[in-house]
Amino acid sequence: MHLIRFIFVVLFLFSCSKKEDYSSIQVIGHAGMGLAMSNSMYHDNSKESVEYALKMRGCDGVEIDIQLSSDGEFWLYHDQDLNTETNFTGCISEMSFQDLNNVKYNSWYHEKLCRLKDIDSSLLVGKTLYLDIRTVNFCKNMEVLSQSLLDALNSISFLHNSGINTVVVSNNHYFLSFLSDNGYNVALEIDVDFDFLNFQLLNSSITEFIVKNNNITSSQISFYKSNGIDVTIFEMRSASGIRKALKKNPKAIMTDDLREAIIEVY
Amino acid sequence: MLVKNALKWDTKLCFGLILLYQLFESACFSQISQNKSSENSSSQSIFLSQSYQKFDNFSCLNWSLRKNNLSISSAVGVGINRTFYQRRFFPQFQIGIGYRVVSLNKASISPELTLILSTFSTIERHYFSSLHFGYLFQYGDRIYFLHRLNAGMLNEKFKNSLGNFTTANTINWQFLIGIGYAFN
Repeated sequence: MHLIRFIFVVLFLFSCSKKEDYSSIQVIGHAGMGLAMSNSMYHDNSKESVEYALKMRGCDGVEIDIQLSSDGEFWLYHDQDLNTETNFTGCISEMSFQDLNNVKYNSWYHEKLCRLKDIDSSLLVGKTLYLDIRTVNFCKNMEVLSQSLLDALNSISFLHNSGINTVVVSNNHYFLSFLSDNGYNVALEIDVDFDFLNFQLLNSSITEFIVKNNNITSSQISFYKSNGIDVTIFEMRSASGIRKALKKNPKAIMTDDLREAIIEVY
Repeated sequence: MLVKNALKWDTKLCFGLILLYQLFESACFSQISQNKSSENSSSQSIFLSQSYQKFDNFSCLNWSLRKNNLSISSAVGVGINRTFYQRRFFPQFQIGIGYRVVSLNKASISPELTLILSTFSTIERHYFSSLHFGYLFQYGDRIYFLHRLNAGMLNEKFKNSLGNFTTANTINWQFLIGIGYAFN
């Protein structure tokens, strides 16, 4: 019994050693509690997952994937076709409320597909909401009209609450420039072979990049910062990945394991 | 229903009871120890185990008492990744009850019901409690190898940013291997 006590005291002391201070870096839940993450309580991009993440102390916001339905409403869903994750087949852009209201995820809880406006906005106050908008109608393989997307965004009242920092994410910089001109904060998702000098000539309104953890170094982040651009890193699933991302000193990390990230930061 | 009721137990009370149990286990079972010589079918053993679960890999020190075909066990351990790699103490306590249904030479198989409690702290403390059902396979005499596989419902509870408790249930599992020593 003394041995057990001794072991516990040693472990406790070991686990209390000081860590680096990352508290200035925001922790954002990717698709709620994480995208396709086995230790998430709920399916990604579900109302339950998003609200569970927002209730967790240390979570500074969430990123969600949204698509426009045929009747002009934003629904939370990541993939192109509903058949990969739900009990329905088809594209959100081809369906209306009547159909989408019956769509459920193929998960333990069979969470219902959720509209953006149905998220509990009181949980978002003081936090950041990243909206990753799909600008393509995947079934018709054509671009959705930017004006339709803007109209749908304008119709959601809580996005205009000054206490909620809404940032629209896309890899389409023309669309983002259009939204920026209409008063939205925007962030461009960039790839590994991104041409920054060419970008600077075209876009002065975009002030934030979203980039995969493996595709950016800390020196690149410093370079972007010195040019007035914040960087948010995504795609990190393990504690080691989160730690690597934090060491790069980005503005925020968009993590797939919110608990691990909060442990690392606090 | 049983699972649901068990998960509603106050986690803190459970931790307290198990700690008390660990502290006073020798006193609790002194009567059994005294009767060991006359009760050949009862045995105590300790074993070290490594288990893979949903939130971490746990290393545990286990104690087990077997009387005829019935066995009870308890364990204390820590989550390796959180405690050592992330430097966040992540203790775990387990109690289980099993019944040996197959016994062939040195091998035995027992269905088991296991209650697992664990906790770690970030800004707020998170409590995990889960009730699992599965089997325990054991091979050997005095020194034995064991393997446990079980699954059940896990409940996570934490005080949320609004000041209330948030709770959610999900599936958890435990894949365990270990090596033990039987005292008699």
